Amino acid sequence: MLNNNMLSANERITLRQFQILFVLEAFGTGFVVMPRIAAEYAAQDGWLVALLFVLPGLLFAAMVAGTAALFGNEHFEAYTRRLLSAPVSAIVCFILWAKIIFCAGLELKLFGEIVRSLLLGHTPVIAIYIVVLGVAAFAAAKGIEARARLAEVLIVIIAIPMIILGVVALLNIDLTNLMPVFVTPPKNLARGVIRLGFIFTGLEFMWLAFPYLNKPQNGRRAAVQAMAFAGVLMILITVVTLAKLGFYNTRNTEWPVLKLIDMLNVPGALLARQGALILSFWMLSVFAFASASLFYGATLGKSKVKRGKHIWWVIACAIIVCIVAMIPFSRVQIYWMLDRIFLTFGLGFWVGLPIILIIVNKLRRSAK
Amino acid sequence: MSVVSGKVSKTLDENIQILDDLYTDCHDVVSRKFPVGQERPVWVYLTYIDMMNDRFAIEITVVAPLLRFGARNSFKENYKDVFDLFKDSGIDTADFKELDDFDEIITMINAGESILFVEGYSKAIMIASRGFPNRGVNNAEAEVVVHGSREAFNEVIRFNTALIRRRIRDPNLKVKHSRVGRRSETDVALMYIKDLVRPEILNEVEKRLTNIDIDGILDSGYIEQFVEDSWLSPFPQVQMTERPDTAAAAILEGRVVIIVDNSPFSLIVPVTLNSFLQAAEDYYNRWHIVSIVRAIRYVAAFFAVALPGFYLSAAVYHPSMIPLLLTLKMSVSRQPVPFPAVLEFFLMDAAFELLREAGIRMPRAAGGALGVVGGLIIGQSAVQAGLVSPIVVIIVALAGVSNFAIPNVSLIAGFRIAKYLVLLLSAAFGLLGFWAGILILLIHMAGLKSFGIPYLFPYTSAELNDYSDTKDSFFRMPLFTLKKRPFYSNPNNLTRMK
Repeated sequence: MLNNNMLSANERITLRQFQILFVLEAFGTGFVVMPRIAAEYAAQDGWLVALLFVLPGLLFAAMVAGTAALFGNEHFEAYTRRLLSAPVSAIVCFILWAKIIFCAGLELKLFGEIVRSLLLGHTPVIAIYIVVLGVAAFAAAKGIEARARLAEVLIVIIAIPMIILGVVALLNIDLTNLMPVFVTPPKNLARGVIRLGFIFTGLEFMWLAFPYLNKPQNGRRAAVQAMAFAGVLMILITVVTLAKLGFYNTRNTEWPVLKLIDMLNVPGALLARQGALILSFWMLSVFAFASASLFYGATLGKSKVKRGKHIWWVIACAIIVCIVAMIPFSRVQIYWMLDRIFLTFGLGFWVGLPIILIIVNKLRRSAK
Repeated sequence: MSVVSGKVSKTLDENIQILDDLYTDCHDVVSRKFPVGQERPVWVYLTYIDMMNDRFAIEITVVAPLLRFGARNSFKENYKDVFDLFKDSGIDTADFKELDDFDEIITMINAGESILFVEGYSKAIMIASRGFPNRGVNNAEAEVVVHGSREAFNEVIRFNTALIRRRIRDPNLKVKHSRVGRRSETDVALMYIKDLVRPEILNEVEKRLTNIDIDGILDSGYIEQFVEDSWLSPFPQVQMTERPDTAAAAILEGRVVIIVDNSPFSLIVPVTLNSFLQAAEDYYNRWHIVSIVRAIRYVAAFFAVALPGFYLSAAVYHPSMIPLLLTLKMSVSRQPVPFPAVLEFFLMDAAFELLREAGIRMPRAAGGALGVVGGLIIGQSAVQAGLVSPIVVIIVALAGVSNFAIPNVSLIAGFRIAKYLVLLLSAAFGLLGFWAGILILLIHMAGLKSFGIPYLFPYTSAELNDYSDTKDSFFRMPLFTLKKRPFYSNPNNLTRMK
């Protein structure tokens, strides 16, 4: 068989690619409801919730990335097994795997609902799931290198129209909608910050991405930079949505970001309803999120079970995600579940696991 | 393929018998046994294949000198080694070689060389005399340029190597020959500059060529299919060119050119999508206009793949995206059409592909008539008959014309296939399907490599060469800014300009 990977290191990505992957894949469909949650807790001060979320977000990113960087290119399963024993590692890996797959299923269900309500009213939702999962599985099966290269292309495709639309949106916002400022009690702000956590469903992917970095020792800085970029994006979107729609409309609209997109109109553009097009650009990031879930789910599953080819794991994960998406949960139930998952397992992987791993690692080293 | 094994016999008649047996019923093989010398003549046997060599050159460099030499000399005891004597004084050419292996001798005869056997010696002299009929150096037809050389490769490997050598007079430019094809024994030459090529790429090219095991190679297209990385991909992973300047430019970038005898197209490896969207004259013109033309090519590539699919998804699933006035006009024009929009596209596209295929095979004189029949009569009639709507004709034509703005024929073929995937998914799922189709193509290309080089380089992984390659991608920056060679080059020799 011919060597197919001579020049570019096989299964290794650069820090820049890692950052792009993070920005593209960290947000699930929660991105489109983010201003609503912020407005629910802090009305016109919602942007403050987003801002305050970014600060601990940076800390969490630094914690996860800093801990993962300690183990270089060692896989998550390997170092948890080495430090925490095989049974504990198996439990941790299973929880992480289940969280990734289950959240992907819920996000897919939400995505299906959005697409059906805005673009494809008559298409059976299962067909939408199959299209998304089929494409995502194809990307996941190609491996991390191909996914990283794809992300580099997608970020350009998504960013250029988003920037144009962003500028147009910024020109038409009413900043008085954000007045008066600083009127929300700190308790509400804190609760809002905690609830926003589920937006970053993909932060745990960092645990599984680090083994593929070409310079894992510099990964923490790259992760913090990526998180900062994503945070700025999050604040900007919240500010623009609140300023454009007002906090009342933002709070009472299920997907305020999509409403904002639908309201945009670039003067002189050839297309009439540009929102649909922009929505389709956003769909690309959902494809990317789904492919990340399948890739990391398959990687984790394979590394733990140590059997089967990567592609079979990807297909198995895709089937499970599809089954989860088909469970007849309501949207309220889905958001409730995503919240609970974040508050339990999510925070566990953001805060608890790094602390445990750092302590055990230090103890093991001092014992040696 | 070994047809005769063993060494040349000292007995001339035995050698003649072997050749006669081998070339039974080969009436194009010319052979003559004749004596050289007055007293105690030495018998020699000359053989070659008619028209595979330059007969006149053989007459004046071998036959005539030998006969003259024989007329002046007689071989008495004082001549210890007649064979060396013939070599040194009896042949008027510098290009000859001693051979003693019959297998090699047969290969040389078949390749157009002449062989001289001498009685009493278990070796023969191969005299270089290839001279096939050929059509000379003609104008390029598949890669036409306005500005730049008109020369194109032809079917003779040595002409083609010379056309490149004429452009790069560097002793480090290597021309490494090998033969591929058990029966055809086709000459294949690898051309590269020793200190510019990446050794791992060169080794891989040589390895893949060595691995080819087929009876015959009749064109470089065979080699292309054997050395490419992914046979499943519709996108080309080897660049074909008929232009010596394009091949020379590739060699100067550290790439390897494969020249195949009997083929006017040479192959360039490795490739990227970017390299397929570059034309030879991009570097002969000033950067402003080239940058605009490059951008147009990219837009054309997007149109070729995506325009029908995008139109279909917008018109069928999301008509609100189209301005109201246009939607109304489209609705009116579609009213008499009895087919679904997707079928309309396939009908029109099938007609377009038929016309294109017919246009390629037809005599040139009839090409214009075909254009009139296809473009005007069929298109117009189809619209008037209510089989297709005018907008579909426009979209299909625009996508078709966009193909012709892409400078590489192989890439056009890939895009033609990709277009149907996007079209079908768009027809089924609107914008979701459109993006799914585009994503499938992008994922496929993101995973594709040509000899280890990512296919989407430098749009992706550009940092591997400090983003230098991006200066010659979507736009072409001024020549003086392109100081570094592309990523394919040997990393120890990346500076092109100081």
